[in-house]
Amino acid sequence: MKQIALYGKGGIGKSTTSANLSAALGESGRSVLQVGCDPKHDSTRMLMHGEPMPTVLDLVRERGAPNVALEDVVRTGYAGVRCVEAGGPEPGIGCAGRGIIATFQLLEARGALEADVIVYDVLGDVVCGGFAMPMREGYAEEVYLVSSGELMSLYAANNIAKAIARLAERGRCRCRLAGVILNAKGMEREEGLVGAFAAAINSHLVAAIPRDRSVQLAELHRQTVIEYAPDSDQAEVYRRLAADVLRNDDLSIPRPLSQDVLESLAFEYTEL
Amino acid sequence: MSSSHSPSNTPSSDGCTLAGALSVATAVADGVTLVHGPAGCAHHHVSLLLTTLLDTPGARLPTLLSDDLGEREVIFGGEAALDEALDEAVALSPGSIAVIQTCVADAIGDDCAAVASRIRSVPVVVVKSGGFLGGGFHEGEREALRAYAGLAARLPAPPEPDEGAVIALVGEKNLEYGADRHADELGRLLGRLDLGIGLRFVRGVPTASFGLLPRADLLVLREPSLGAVADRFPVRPRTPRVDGFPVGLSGTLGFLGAVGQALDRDATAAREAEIEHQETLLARFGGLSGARIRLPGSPPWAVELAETLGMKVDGAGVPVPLPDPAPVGTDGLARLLVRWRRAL
Repeated sequence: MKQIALYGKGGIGKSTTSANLSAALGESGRSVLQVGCDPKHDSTRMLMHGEPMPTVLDLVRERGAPNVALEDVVRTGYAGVRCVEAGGPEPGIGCAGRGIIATFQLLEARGALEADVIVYDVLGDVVCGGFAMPMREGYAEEVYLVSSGELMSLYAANNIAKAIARLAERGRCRCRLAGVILNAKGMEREEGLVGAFAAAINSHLVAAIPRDRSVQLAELHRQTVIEYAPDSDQAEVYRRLAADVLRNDDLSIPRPLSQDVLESLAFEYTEL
Repeated sequence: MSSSHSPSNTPSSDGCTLAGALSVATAVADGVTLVHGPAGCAHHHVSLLLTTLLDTPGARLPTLLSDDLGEREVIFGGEAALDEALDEAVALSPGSIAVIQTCVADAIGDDCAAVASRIRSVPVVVVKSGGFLGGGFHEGEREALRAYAGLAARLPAPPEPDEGAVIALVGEKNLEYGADRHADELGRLLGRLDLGIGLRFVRGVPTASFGLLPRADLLVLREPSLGAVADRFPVRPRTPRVDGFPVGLSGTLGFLGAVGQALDRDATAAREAEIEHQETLLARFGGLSGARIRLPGSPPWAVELAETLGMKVDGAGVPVPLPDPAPVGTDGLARLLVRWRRAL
């Protein structure tokens, strides 16, 4: 079983990348479970063709944890990918991080965390203990940082690298950085910048996903690119990513950058 | 591991902020105290309060509720649980309700003040007492006093006491053994100036009496560290205050002088009468003269007492008890001398 997590700044394309990755893996015959760990619970929307997903935490709130069964929270989507959404509290109240912990405890107790590949799609802006829990508790053994070439996106990725480095110091934590995925915004020299960032933090660039209109069109049709445009170049990019993830054994303990070094790197690759 | 974090190196006054807040809130005679947090937080402190109150004759058992926050409330917020518990508290028809925040509530960011503002039929104060925010027991006490001072500003003023001038005792240590005896002693001393205690802020009084605070003519603080709290009380500008209860022979006489000066009253006769009272006391314990005693820390008030009695203070003497906090007034010294005599 391979347990991977995609972390990154909000809005950077984690869910799109995760869903297409899961779809490609499912299409290749693997059993796949995708767990959305973001209170806005839209990670699996494309896999589920827009069907509203009951979130684990909504059901916990309504019924109490003992009354939530596995079949209540797991739905099967495109290519047989099993989908779960953790959900979270209403904005501005409660603790979403604790909600992630409660979700994992419930899924594990129900025996849900079984598949050839489990893909965790985790919010990366918040780096409290709750959102680091999938890494800390050994659910996410391989972490992929999803980033564009924008400084704030790299900043968030660097923060997550800090969390991995800190956790890796603990003997019982098996979590490692598996690479950086560029989800391009179409900036000049973007791949060079993100590749340099990956190397600087002691990792490597796993994939460079170009900006492509098929992604937007697929989302409008509530589908992954793999399903909506299976013969497109973009779909092929996601399939290559899936193949690379499956054979990737280049795992590392990252060396996060200081703010100054990160900014200097961005400056170096920016056309003035 | 740093030894500075060992419990053995932590002064007892640095205990839980919640306990400090509860020590004040539960002393409101007609109040209900609602602990916004896990039930265990309330249970632990109920045990502490009950244990302490067992030593206090005639003590009233406080009404203490908890909204019993659990994981569900931590994830989704505890405001709904607080809202529900407030309704239960209101149903008890209290004079006021104190919402005491715990670490959990502060960590998840519940807006207790907003929830409490829904209640119109009973005054509600919210005390920020999450221990992880810093401070300890005393900070909890101060936060509670600040909260009740805020309430005092909103209450109508009750009739003034017969003595005319309103003297408010501020920040009595409610878990202290003998707190009421200390207040009795202050009442006796103030009586020498034809004054009385108008308000005990906060100990054993109903909520409505807090309305006297803005009309106070003199604040008598339990200890100087409460000055920062009193600075922001809703009192008249330049309201005088005495920054501590009287301690020691000369300290007690000085207290009378300070009160007289603050209220523009001649304290000469009061001081003379008290000197006579002190001389009677010293004569009663005249048998202690010549005894060699050791006074840990040598607090000036205790050295003064010993030397006035003709006792010899040195490191080789018999150790005698020194309570912390120090005994209040002349009569407090009388009780201490009984203990010294027993030790010798």
